[in-house]
Amino acid sequence: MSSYAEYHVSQMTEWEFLNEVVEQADCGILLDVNNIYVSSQNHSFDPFTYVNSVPAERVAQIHIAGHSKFKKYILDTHDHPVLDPVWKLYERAIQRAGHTATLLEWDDSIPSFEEVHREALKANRFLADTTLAVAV
Amino acid sequence: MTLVTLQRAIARAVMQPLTSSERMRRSAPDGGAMSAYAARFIKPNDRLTSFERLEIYNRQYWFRLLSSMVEDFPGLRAVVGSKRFEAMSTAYLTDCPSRSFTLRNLGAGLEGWLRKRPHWLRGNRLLALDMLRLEWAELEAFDGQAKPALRAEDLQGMAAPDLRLGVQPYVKLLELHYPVDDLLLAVKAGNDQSISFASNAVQHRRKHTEVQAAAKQKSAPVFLAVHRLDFSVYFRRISQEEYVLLGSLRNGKSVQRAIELAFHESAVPSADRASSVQHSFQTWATLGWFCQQDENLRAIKK
Repeated sequence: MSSYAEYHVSQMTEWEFLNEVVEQADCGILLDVNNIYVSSQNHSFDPFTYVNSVPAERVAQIHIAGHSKFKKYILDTHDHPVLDPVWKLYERAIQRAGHTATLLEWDDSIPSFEEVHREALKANRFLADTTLAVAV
Repeated sequence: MTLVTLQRAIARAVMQPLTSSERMRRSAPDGGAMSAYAARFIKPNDRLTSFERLEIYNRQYWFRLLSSMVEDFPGLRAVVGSKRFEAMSTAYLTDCPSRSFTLRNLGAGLEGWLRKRPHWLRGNRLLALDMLRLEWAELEAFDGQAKPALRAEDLQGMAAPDLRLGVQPYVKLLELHYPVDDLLLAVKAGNDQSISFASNAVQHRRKHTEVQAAAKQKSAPVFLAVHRLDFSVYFRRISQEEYVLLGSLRNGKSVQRAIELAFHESAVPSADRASSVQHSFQTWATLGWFCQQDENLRAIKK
């Protein structure tokens, strides 16, 4: 999830925590690459470290979205097209997880259906070089 | 520090109302300075202090909740005015903070809360409460349970005098003082139009005029069924007799008894009643409003 604060008592990174939870629960992952990007900018970590650390075989769905940049932080607003750094993370995620169901979140300042649909279809350009659900 | 202690401390701060300039308050829930409170739990970074990082959550929490109230109750907002609506929503959410996993339930306690605090509604109390009840019914009709519908053919073989029918849970029956269904549709039509700054002002004036006109109308009973068809919600005006009939069926009365109650002291001539009931039942069966009676009501009868 997108986050804006870090706690003094935190003992692990978010991806370490996520991996621990999904291993113990033996469940799939809904991987939101926009959230990962937003948090990476707010907490100064490399977002690819996060994406590369997630067990690819557990990724069942990927979310993409737009966000808003402010002077000192980034906010997960779902009111813009997907930005290039997020597409790059998406590309990496499907390189690892293979073809995966993908949802574009756009639930504020919503443009025409055609525009939202065009944005969602951009995801197809990253699928050509990947095989079906093969983890890397 | 345990996780639950941290969660509660952060939640208390996040749920404190914002200042009038939509910033986080300087005083913390424990009475001390919010900057010290935030620094106790949250790390600063090279761009933001602990206070500023906590403030992002505090502001987004309130922006999200207040925008959800505006989305759920545009009619009530038009009746009480946008500034008063925001202040009222903040007071309501402070007294009755969200306890649900979904924003859908945010306004569940609003009617009860407002009835104890009518000063928020000024001179338009009845009109405002009518509108609120309609908007809540609309929300419940949208996602209320739909049981398997009894079709007209199913009803034909069920002519026993003790016949009992259920009414679909998603059908909401309202007795109102004002025609707020028309007013709400007008408000929504105004909201849907694309708005520039200038046209927004025009819409605002038009909405205000419509609300004033509705408030000046002499109050007269309006009976309404709020229901769902093909995933859309509709308002259907019904007669007082139909309102009593459907309500009685829902409360477990037999069809025969429900008809008796519906036409008690009715102005509908006796000669017209049978055809009127037949027409209503056909319409409701076609709309899928009938279902098996609720199991609890059946158990009570036994």
